[in-house]
Amino acid sequence: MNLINIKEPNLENDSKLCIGIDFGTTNSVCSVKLNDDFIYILDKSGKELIPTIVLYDDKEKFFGNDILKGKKYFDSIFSVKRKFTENYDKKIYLNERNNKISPVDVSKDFFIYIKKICEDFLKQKIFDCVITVPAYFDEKARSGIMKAAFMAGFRVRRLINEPTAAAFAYGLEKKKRGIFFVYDLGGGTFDVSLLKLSDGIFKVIGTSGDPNLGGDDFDVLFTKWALEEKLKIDLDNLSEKESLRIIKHFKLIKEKFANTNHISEELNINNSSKKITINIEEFHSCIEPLVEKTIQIASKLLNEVDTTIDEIDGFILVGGSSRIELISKKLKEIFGTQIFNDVNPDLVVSKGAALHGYELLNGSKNILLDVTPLSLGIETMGGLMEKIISRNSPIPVIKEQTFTTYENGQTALKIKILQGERETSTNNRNLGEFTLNKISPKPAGIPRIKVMFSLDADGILFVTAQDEETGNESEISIKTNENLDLAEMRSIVESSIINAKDDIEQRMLIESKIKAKSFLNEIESIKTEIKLLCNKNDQENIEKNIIMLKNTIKTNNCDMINECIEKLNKSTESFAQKKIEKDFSQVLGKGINELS
Amino acid sequence: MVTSHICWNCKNKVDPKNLFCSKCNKIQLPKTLNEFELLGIEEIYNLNLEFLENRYLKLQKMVHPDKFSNLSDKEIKYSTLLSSMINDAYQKLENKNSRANLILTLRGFTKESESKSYNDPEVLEEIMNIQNRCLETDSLQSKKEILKELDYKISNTSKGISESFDIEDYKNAYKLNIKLSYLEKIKNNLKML
Ligand SMILES: [Zn+2]
Repeated sequence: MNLINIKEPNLENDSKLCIGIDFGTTNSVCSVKLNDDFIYILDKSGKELIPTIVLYDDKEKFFGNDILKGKKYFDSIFSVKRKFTENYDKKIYLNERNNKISPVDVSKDFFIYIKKICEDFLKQKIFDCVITVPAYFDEKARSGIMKAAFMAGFRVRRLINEPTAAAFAYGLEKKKRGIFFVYDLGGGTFDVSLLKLSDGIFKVIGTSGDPNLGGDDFDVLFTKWALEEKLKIDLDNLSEKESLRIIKHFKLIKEKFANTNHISEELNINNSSKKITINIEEFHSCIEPLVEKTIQIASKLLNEVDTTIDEIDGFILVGGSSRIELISKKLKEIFGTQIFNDVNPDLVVSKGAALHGYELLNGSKNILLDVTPLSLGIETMGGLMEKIISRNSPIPVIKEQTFTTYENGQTALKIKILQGERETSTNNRNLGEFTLNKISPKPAGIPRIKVMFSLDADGILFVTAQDEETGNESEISIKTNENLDLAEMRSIVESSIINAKDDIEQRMLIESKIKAKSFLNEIESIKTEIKLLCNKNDQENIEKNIIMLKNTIKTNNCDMINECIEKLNKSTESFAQKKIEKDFSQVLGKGINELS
Repeated sequence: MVTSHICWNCKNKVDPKNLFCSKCNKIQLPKTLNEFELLGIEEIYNLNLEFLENRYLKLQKMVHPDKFSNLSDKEIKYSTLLSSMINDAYQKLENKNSRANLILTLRGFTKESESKSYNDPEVLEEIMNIQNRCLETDSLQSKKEILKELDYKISNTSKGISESFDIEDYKNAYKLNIKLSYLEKIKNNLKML
């Protein structure tokens, strides 16, 4: 067990601070290394586990332990992290002012909150952090987390994988060497990573998992079973809020099984009290299928990376849900190897991030050699995926691929980037499309466009292209359908940190700049359409406002940027109107005026 | 034809085999090194994998972006690129199949200089035979037996490739390497069954 260090942080240090953030599905943990001290950061209530929950309520917002277990508790947003494997820009929540917001926005607010906790605790400004993500998160989920942290004003020094972070902290603390399996069962995700720990190098051999399998799923399964078996109640028939409340109750029962074999409790369902008794065997047989599933993923990974169980020095159990006794029992039974559970599974991930963050800013003694969890490829003609970087390749990695045209005189080429292990492209995650423009017109198959796909040490994708003939990189422009790439966002954060006087000002500046850049990107992508639909006067007006906005971004004046966005928006109104008319007439075959 | 390149930082002449400037110690980006040169190992087929891994880890410990995080953007970019190149080179050299292909390319042997498809009926039959048995396997025991047989075939084929390289019979090395790639593929599929 880690003892929580509660002594006052040593502020007379010259090392640069970098917070290690474990942004979890259920709980988040922040920690930091200051010279020779390592400390977990405590919130106002003195706790190191900060529930990852957000409550938007009547013009106010509440977070973590500040949300009291009262009536409104179950109106909170739980498990927002799970949304990152879906479309996280979709506005599915309402904030305190009743505006529709996305999972990224909610996470941004949560990151702002934990930034404040860190600053209050350490009594100084904080910008740098290392954030952990599930190893099995795809590129898109990683970008989403990074965006949320950027928008909160964090300078993200590195994203590292949760099991890697755990192994890093564990290896350093216990001075372990050898090959270890990290079994990481969090609230919403499951990861396994096989690592080789040697002097100064933490090398990931392979990683696998399920981004949508975690303690939450155990809770739901257990609740469903218990209600049906013991009380003849169908969980699906309860209201959403009521079922959430009951599931949280069963989560507590699940945790009690760590210390007892038998539970007998009063349960309040739909305003009537019911008695329920469950023994541990029943609980185990109920959750066994999910435990089996995790073990299968682990066995499959061993096979895949050509490692036998005899070569492994042990399992390191990480993540709050790994406390379930059945898990270590099953692992021991099937793999017959040592199980290490002598670290706090809730805290060790954050610690790894903080230790790594310290080294990144103050000189590294150790390197983390990680791998990409999923293959990266492009869609080919028949809707299949052609792999370019295969899963479990060490990162950073760069691969080249040459493309050509298939029509005479073709000047543009659209390429769809995919991530996943399935053969057909629709079964994999679509990371976005980009277009190679300004290819010099030639007969089909003659142009040779060299495209470089690189995954950096964060697992974030960058694409660059070059016409092999001219060797000119700038001649070809690449636009993905993402509004803003992370490099752009990173530089916005950098410049805002340097220029802003206080936190709120800094964040508003970041938001305005991001909005401005996204808007500029959007307009850039429809430039040809603008030329087609607008008269010369409108075009010139738009062009003038674009230049003005571009110049204002550099001034770091938030109000002026917003004003210029508004101006540019106004100048494109006539275009928007014409576009609607055009789209209408395309659909209906006649002009909008003829409709009535 | 070793041409030295110029350090981007201090303009000193740098041996292209060096990843760091000998004068100012800044990271360099040598573009002309092949995979063997990048890892600083002899261009041979029979590599000692442990030695290869040690070289690889030693290099990554020098160039990995973790070591450059608090330095200039340029150094971060160069370290990321160099680390990527070394990762890629290591992956290619670690695998027998791609290693043989690399050597063939470096020795000027191209696929185009040979007939494109590979039609040795005897080998094809051997491959088809074992492939069919994989598909029919139903017990763990028979799976283990086939895996054992595959391992034997793989090691034999690899030995053949090695011998062909020794006598500079690239055509034969190329043919055997195709056979090897089939066998590896079958083995991987069987393992994941
Ligand atoms: Zn120099």
